[in-house]
Amino acid sequence: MSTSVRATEPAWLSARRMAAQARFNAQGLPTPNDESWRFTTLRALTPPAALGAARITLNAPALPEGVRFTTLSSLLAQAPGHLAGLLTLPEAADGFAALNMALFQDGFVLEIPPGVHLTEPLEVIYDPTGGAVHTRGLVLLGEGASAILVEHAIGGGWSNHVTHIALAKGARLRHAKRQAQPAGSVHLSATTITLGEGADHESVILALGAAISREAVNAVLAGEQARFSLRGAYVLGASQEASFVPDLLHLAPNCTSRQLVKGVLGGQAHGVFLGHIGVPEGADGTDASQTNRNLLLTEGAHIDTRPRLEILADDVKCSHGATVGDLDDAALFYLQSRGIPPLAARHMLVEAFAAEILDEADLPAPLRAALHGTLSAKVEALS
Amino acid sequence: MTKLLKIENLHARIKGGRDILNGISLDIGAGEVHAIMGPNGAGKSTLSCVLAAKPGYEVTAGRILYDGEDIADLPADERARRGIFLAFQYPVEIPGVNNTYFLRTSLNATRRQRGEPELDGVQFLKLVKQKLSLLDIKDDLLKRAVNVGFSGGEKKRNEIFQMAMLEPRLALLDETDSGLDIDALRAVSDGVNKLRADSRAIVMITHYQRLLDYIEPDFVHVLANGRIVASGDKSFARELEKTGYAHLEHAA
Repeated sequence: MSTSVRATEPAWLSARRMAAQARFNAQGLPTPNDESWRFTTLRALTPPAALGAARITLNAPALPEGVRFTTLSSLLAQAPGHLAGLLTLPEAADGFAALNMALFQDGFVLEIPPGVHLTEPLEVIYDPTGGAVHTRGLVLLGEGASAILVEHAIGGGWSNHVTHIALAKGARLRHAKRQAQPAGSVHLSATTITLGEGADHESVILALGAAISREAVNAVLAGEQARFSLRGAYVLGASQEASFVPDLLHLAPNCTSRQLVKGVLGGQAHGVFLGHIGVPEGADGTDASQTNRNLLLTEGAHIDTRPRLEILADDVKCSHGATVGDLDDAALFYLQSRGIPPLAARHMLVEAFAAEILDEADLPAPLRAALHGTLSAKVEALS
Repeated sequence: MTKLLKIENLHARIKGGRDILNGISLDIGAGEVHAIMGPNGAGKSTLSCVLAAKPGYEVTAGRILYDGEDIADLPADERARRGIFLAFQYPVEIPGVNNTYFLRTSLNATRRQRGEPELDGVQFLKLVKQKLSLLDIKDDLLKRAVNVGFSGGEKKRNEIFQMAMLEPRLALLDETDSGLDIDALRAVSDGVNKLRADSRAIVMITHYQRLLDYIEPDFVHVLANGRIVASGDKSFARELEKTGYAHLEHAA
């Protein structure tokens, strides 16, 4: 369990916090006029005045020398200068990111030296409690390094997570995230990922809990032959809301990206998908696809989906698409004609729809099975 | 003795449409194989849909007695668990649902209804192996999603395999021969023949005489304009091949 970083923090950080706070004071929270927030219920996202406790737990097998996997608070205490170059606020950051920089209480750091391969998953558990919680994650993989990182968000309250992932040449990260926070909580997440030449990243994100959640994933494919994959699912009931906001920049030529985000919406739930792929001039040989598919189980559920491509290069292969539908009646009848009761048949089809993102995810079998279990339980709870 | 299936003056339609079945009466006993033939649009598929309780169809008059009981109010899944099996003309592809998982769920639902204990994974696979070898089917179909990427022949074979697993009392084979080449037709027919039993009735609904060369029926009926217009024994099918349906349709 971590303590607040404030007590031991270096002067450079205090200065950055003050600058970030000043920026937030000037900028404020996003408004419906901000394109990437326009469909999100912003009035419900105002942070509580009091700060809560981050309560981050890390689980890992025995790690080889040189690998650093630690909470942010302990790293700042042990090596205060180490993160000076990395804990920064990007120019384009929005109000929530500025607030995170000003107020973050804790977080985690994963650093893997070049050439080191970790085959067992490393776990980060977020169990925030109390008032507003801001956490910060840093993942740095050296040249040719590889790892599997799993994030579990289970606590309640209001939390705002900012994570930066940097993959050097040929590095490979498999990242899974399970957001299963209790009803009534707020989960905001913004992840930036930079991929060097030949780097290979996949994120599998399940947004199942919280009253309102948002997953912003910002990836820059900066080196040639980099490969990025996002497989996401939101399964929501009651009056839950989840947004997926992936924004990809195919900066270098000959990179590949695949995105498949699937939504299951019951009750009065609201899903948002705002995807963007940018392919600037010169990024020839880009191969990108982005798909958002939705299953609406009730009249009251609704989805705002907008996949978007901006292509300025000539020689590219890009596709995008969105679908919204109901369960297939022919498939339902087929299952029932084999003796499967209607409710069980619906579960089977809904689960199969959402689990597609796991079926082909590149994850170790036990991890995939555990994620599948959480997904099934949520599908079951919808009806 | 109570007939396994007794259809009395059945009128039925697609909801909101006009009647497609105009008074069908038919008795089918356990151990019997019946063929229902007839031209396109005669109501053959409607009959199988109504017997299997496909949503969207409604009975406007008459009764269906299964084992002496009027099953009008029983939904599709309940009929299936009581032993009515429909082999689909077009088996449905269900992405993401594994064939083995699907079949085990189906079998265990049926077994619960019969008051039999559910099969665990090991017992289930043992039964699968036994039925696969009976029907001479390869087990790779089981690892895939239900019917996804199956050829026409594989889909039909999968239907018969399901029939073998579920051991229905009444099997309705809807155009099981359609879209099959001669080898696939032979394989599917061999499977059906192995599943003939004294306790089981089989009803083949088909447009073509060809299927009856492989699965020999005890009774043949001609359905035209929503009615049974003629019935006979297996020799009747050969007669029909020569004379066609047209003169019978006029009789209706």
